[in-house]
Amino acid sequence: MLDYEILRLLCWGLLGLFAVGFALTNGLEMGVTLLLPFLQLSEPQRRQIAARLAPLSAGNQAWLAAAIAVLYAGWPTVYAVVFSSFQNLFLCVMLAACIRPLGFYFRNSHDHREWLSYWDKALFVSGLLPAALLGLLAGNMLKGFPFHLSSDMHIAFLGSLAGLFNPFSLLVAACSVALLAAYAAAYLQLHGGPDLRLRAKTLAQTAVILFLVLFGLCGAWITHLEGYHVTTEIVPDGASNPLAKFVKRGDGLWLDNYEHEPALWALPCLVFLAGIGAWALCKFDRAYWAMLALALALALAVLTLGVSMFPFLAPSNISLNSSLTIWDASASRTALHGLLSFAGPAWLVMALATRGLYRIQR
Amino acid sequence: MELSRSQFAINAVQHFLFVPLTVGLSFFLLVLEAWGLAGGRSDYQPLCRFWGKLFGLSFGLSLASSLAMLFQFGGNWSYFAHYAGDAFAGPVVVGVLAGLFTAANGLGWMLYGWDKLGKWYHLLSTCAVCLGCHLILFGFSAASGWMQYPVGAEFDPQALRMELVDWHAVLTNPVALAKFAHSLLSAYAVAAGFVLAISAYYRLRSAETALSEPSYCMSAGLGLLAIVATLLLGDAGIYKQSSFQRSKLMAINGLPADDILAQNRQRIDNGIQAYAMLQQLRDDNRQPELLAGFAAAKPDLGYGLLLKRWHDTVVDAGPAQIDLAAQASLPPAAPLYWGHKAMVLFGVLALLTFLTAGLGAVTGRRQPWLLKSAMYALPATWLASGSGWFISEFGDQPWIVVDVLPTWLAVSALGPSDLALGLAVYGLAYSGLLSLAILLAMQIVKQGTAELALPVEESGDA
Repeated sequence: MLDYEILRLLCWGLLGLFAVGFALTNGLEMGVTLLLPFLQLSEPQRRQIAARLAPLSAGNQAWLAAAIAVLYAGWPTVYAVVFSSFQNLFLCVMLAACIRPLGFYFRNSHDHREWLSYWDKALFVSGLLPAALLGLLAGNMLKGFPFHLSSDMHIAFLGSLAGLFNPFSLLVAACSVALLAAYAAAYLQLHGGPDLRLRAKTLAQTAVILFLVLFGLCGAWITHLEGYHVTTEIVPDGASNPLAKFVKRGDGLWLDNYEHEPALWALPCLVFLAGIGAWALCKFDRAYWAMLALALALALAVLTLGVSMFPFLAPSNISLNSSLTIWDASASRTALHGLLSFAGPAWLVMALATRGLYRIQR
Repeated sequence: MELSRSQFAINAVQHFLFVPLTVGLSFFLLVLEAWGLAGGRSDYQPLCRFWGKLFGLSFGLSLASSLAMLFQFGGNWSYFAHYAGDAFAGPVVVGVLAGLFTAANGLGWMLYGWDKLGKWYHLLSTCAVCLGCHLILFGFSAASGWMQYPVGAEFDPQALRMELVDWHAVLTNPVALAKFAHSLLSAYAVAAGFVLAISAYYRLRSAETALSEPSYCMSAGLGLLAIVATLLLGDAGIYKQSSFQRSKLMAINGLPADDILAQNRQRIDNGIQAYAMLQQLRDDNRQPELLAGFAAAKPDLGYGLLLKRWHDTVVDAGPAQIDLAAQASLPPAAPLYWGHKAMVLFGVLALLTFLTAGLGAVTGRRQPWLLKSAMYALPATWLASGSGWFISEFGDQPWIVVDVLPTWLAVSALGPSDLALGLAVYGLAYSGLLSLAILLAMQIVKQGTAELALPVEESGDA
């Protein structure tokens, strides 16, 4: 059996991979549906898009479920804290996630104008809402959110829904919407008919620029945003007791990891490069490569978030020592070992199967 | 607490409505397609497509309710998620990663792959969907079986939670396996009842004969086999393992459980000791005798926690409070008694339906009363399976994890307004989804096999 420390690290990487899988598959769907009103589509074009995405939709939702399940199995306490704190946010994400496959499957089962326009609106909301709210969630994770662990490990969330809508988190939310829009627009540029292709191209280029500006702004803000740092000695193979450490907070501490490991700068830099590359590729009608570049940017953006916060998974801004890290909130060694040996191969199979399904839909 | 439970109940009801139907239908579809292919019949495809459409709808709702469950465990039951997640999440991961993903991906191929895949490859995709659905049910049964009979996990005082020590024990939990077999068979019966009712509806109107004829016969046969097996296998296997399961069995049979009550009182006393020692351990007292004492009393810690409802500090609880806790440690007798009666009643009703339908199929008779009874018996299998779930889940009270964690400790510390909002949204969303589903199902049935392809495919590929 592997060391507890290595296991925690590997499972954290695995969680990242599942998050990337979710972002790439579900993100595409969200992006396409949130673009629907801006593409001036004719009814046959709408039908075509729905027909293209319908077979993929259930598989995409399974990525969402898989990412949540891996978080639950690997860091049960983090799962408990995050889902109980952001309960109302997740309620909306979940409703959207349920509506979308049904919309794709059944949008075209009636020809009534009202029925169709109703579904189109529902699909738009079911794309925009989770794209924005998951961004908002990421922003709040970076800022830290107000939860407290009592000595018997009962979790209390002391914030309010309104408090989650702070300027920094809204910026991250906008950034996430722009990136998903760009990614989806490149997809439509690749697969749409001739006139759709042209409109998607313009949209993709605009969205990429918007994303790069917003991503840069987030980066600049983070240098002054209060980050978190464990001040007591970290015991990477210690018991999972989050209350046994001290945490401090300070401006720019989220950049700590980059100072210790300058190679990590490659991640955010590559996001920029991939974004710029995608813009150029869109311009010269290399839509396939543009989409790949944007997928890379999306994956790297998710990883940048994870690496900046490392080893924190859920920092608390009112009870600093309650913050949860990958070391002191993980599942037991046996559980992590099982998770790694099962979910690792499963990720590979899932990735290949998803790729195959997208391919046959081409 | 009550709000959390109602919210969870809405969710669970939805789950129990659609998961059995989905699992059962996936098997029915596999049998149908394999039978058509093996017999070299060209007319099986429209059948598979028609039932596949209904399956897609049911799968969508199961997926939605499974996702909602995943959100619920963290949102509403955060202390449970922390306290038991280490062991509980294992089967969940298996169900989601292996089952849900296989089924969801296979679904894409199965519903839309008719023109793209060869016959045998299509059968393979149907196979994948069926396998995935069964794995989901297995993961779900293993997780829920663990809550009733928590094997393979040990309490860890430092992390203050149950920690997994033996994967194998969790996945081969005898209660979970018995539960899986029982609910799988009843899922087949639910799906057969569903198919039978729709086929009878068509036959009654003499419509869609090409569809209703084979479907009617197959579902009658499958249903008969499934329901007989369910009744023969019974649910006794689920109740053998622990004293709590035995007390549940007593309640079902309307017998008094005085000896178990006395035993539980003893366990509560023991639990108080365990709780007191745990507090010292939490204060970093690491004396060997304390550790040994705690290790011995640990299995009864849950009974100490049971007291928290009446006496938060546990350690100095009075006899009256211990009495209350002991009374509460037994599952509620009356609902279990009547729930079980209802399950058996509906099960027998379903058996009669399948029997008469089977006779009708064999003799080729089409009396309207026979068809009507098959139609109106549609809820019977569902109610039988639903009451089965009810005794299984409600019968766990006062525990969320039997002998380990009381339900009232497991909820999140959410304000009533948050919970009320959540409940309202859930209620609205679910009634909305449910009515949408019924509307769409009725439309699919009305369309019959007239439009064979799913409407989204009409315009061809993009």
